Amino acid sequence: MATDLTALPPTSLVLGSLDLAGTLPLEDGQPYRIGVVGSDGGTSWGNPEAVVAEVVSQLLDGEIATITGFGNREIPISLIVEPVDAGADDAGDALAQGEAALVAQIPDGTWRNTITWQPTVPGAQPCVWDVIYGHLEHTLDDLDETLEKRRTYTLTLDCFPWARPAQQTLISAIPNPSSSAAAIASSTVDDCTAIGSWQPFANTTISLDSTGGGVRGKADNSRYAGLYRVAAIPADPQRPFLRIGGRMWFNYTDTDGNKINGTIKIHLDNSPVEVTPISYQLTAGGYWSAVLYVPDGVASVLSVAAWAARDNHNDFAVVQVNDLTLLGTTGYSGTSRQQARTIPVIGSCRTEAAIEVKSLDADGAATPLGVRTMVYTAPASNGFVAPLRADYRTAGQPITADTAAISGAVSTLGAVNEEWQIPANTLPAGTYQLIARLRATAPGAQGFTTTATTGLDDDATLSDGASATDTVTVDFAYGNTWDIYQIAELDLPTLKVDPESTATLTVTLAAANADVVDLDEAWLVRVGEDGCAVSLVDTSGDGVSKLVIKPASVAEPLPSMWVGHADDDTHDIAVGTRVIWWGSHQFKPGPVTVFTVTSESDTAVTSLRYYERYHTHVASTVLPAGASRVDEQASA
Amino acid sequence: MSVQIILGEGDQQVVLSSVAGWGSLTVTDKWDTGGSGPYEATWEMTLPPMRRPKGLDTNVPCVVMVGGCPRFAGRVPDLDWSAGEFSAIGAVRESEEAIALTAAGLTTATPDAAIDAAIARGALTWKRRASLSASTIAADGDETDDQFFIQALLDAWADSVGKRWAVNARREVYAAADPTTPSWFVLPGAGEFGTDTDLMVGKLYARYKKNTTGDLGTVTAGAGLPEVAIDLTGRGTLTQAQAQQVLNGIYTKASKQKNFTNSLELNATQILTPGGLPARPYRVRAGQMMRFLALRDERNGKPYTDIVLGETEWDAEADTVTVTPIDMSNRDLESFVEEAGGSIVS
Repeated sequence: MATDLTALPPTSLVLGSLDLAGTLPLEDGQPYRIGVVGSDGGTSWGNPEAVVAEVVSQLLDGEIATITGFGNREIPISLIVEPVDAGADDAGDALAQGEAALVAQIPDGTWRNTITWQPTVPGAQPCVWDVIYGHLEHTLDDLDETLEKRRTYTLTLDCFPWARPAQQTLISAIPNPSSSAAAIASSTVDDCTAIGSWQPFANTTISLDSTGGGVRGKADNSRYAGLYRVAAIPADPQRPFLRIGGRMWFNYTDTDGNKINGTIKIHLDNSPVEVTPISYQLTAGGYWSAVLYVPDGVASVLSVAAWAARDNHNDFAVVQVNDLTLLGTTGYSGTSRQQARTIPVIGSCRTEAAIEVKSLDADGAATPLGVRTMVYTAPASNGFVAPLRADYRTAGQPITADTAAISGAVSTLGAVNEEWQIPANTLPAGTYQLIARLRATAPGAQGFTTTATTGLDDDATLSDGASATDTVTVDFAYGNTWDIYQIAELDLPTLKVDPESTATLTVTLAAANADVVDLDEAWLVRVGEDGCAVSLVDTSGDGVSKLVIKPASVAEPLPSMWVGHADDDTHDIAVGTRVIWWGSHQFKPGPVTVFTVTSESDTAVTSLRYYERYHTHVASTVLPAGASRVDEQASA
Repeated sequence: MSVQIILGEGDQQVVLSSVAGWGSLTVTDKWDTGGSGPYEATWEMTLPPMRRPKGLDTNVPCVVMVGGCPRFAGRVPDLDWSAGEFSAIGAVRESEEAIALTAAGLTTATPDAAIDAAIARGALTWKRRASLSASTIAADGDETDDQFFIQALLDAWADSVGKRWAVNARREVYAAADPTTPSWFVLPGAGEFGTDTDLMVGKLYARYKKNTTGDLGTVTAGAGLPEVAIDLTGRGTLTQAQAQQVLNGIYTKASKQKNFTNSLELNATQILTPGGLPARPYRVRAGQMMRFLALRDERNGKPYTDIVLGETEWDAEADTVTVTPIDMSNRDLESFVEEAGGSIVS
């Protein structure tokens, strides 16, 4: 009978299914009993050993080092084996059977086992370590064996460094409400053309008006300005997402969008806890837009404040709201074929998570993902700036609406270069790859030159700093066929900028030949740093409606990718030749942005499945809505 | 790092990390005579006996990807699974074994024609996006008496125009002169370059076979002692301008009075982009210029040292790059002359 590791009595210690602490009922006919000698006997949970890489720094004194990972932990356990009936004739055989039962549970590295500790303290969670291998040492004590009929052993286990709960955590991103989400018209809550229900924060002298395209609050002598709207937003089952957008600026009397930097803080119903948006974008000119998940609506108050990145001294802050709309989809960037979701990674240590992208319609039936599926992951603190066309475009050839496009529109690269502007300080320094969905009129090679410059909008003398350029030639195998290509590798931003700087990074894309290549959408992704990674998979044909990216884990030391049908978990196949790019997706505790592009599916739902990892003791966490604890899935 | 090694192509493609764990990846780039670009990639992986991925044969194509961008392309000449150590050679090195022939099978001394024909017959996996040269480098007709390899042809051509030729990680062949502006800046304290001051050459005299008459002619370069005589007749007939160009190339390399004696290992916190941000070591590659700030240049007295990287070795695990300047002192006049197809007359 399998032992339920989630409901062990206190002070239980179980290796695989073998009770080491004598807290579980004996199996039928079991002639031996195993007991653990506690910390007095040398038993310990060990500790993971940090793998440290020294960083050569320019410090005159002191050293800087980074931890690149952790080695395994070694757990020594002191054990006593004794017969259930010490007076029985076959007591000696019972001792040998106990030893054999122990050895049978010690893995040799070709298979794994677990050791589960249920701490004595009330309310503690069971802590599971994955055992990689182990060995048993017998200590002869002839007096003990003869008089007490017991034997003493030390079991040493080499274990994965972190403790985990018995079950995995499955967190689905908030799904779109229906398959036709893209078709559900958005619903304006407030067009923000009149002051209406809006009121200003009572911090300092604050004036309220509705000029300049939205409701605007201006606070003099203040670092921040805030507005709140006293009116309920009813729950709308078809439209659970609230998009709120506007603009902010500080310090200067002009409203041309220059000299702006700050953050937006949103609170609902007088809660002191700031709402974490599903997505947040800050574009050049101080325009911001956030999407909140409000399935229950907003009971009474929505408050929005713009905070300058630093104290303005005796100047002012302005916050403007010009958009308050309920949406049926999170697809804030063009269409919901591209989705950015923030998914929490619970625990206190790095874990390995399987990413699952499924395409299901409202009835739960599988729909195709499309020819290509791209997955990009980055810590949410990492200033995610992926979709350029939909969010940051400032110039280019005329665009034509196209319902089949990822961004919802297509332009033909030509005389006017495609240009995107991104606030430079929202971009963490690193190497970025520009990825674009393109099609050419005919097969053949086409060249693309990408240039990035950083400059202050209103200061020409500071605008001509370093630039970065990359030229890449793409071989289009087919004419008139969309595909996703990597077309530049750039170190961005091109200049180091102050975190409070208002400098703008301008990226332009020029095609060597005019009027032959169509651009749908372009993405800037950071690779190889801080756990950022991108994968691109061929998910065409065969009704493929599910993609699973599994990391290397204790159970499966090699990473794998799988495709299958979203409504059937039993027939996934591992893919090798469908892989185009394979990123090493990493998951540190905290929110992680998972950005997906599914070239045909508007209803892709992304989920993460992982073991919460803790140092030595597992904490209990209230799971977010839609999350559950599940047993580890065996590989298909 | 999001680095993947991919072996094979199309239906035979194998992403190596789905087969076995691998490690200790290094990628070496060169910027030198003999072909430049990604030159070698090495890594280690061990598989238990009897477990060999199917479809992988000798000379299997190999690509190292960082995210969606190739960092190395070439092939693995020999898959030695039992030793567990693998070494892939860069696409540029296909030129060592491909003969310079036209599509009709005649010998040629025209770079474009030789490359295109070799690509067409499958000897090279390169792509030629732009013309290197559509003119022959031979003085008396395109067809040559001897067969030679494309590497030798491109070296001779590149020398004659003051460039180096390379095949990048996208397998694109191109030629460029040494850069004159730095791509990377290195913070003070990263190390120092030693220099030596061996004076190799004063004046060079070269004898060559004239294309007009077949007689011998002489060209000179430099001044002073020691004087060295060089035989360039092995290059076949040459115009005077061509002979002068070849000799100038030798003189430029050999006349440097100070040469570097060592390499330096750098990590991510020591290298900056021109914009002052930390750079990723894998982005540093031979053929770029690197400026060492606050390191006095022993060659010219400047307060910083600009070097063109002649060789880089990126260590993916340690995330470091070892950089070697092009002007290394372990070269001698004889090797420069031999590279140019001549010999020293003693």
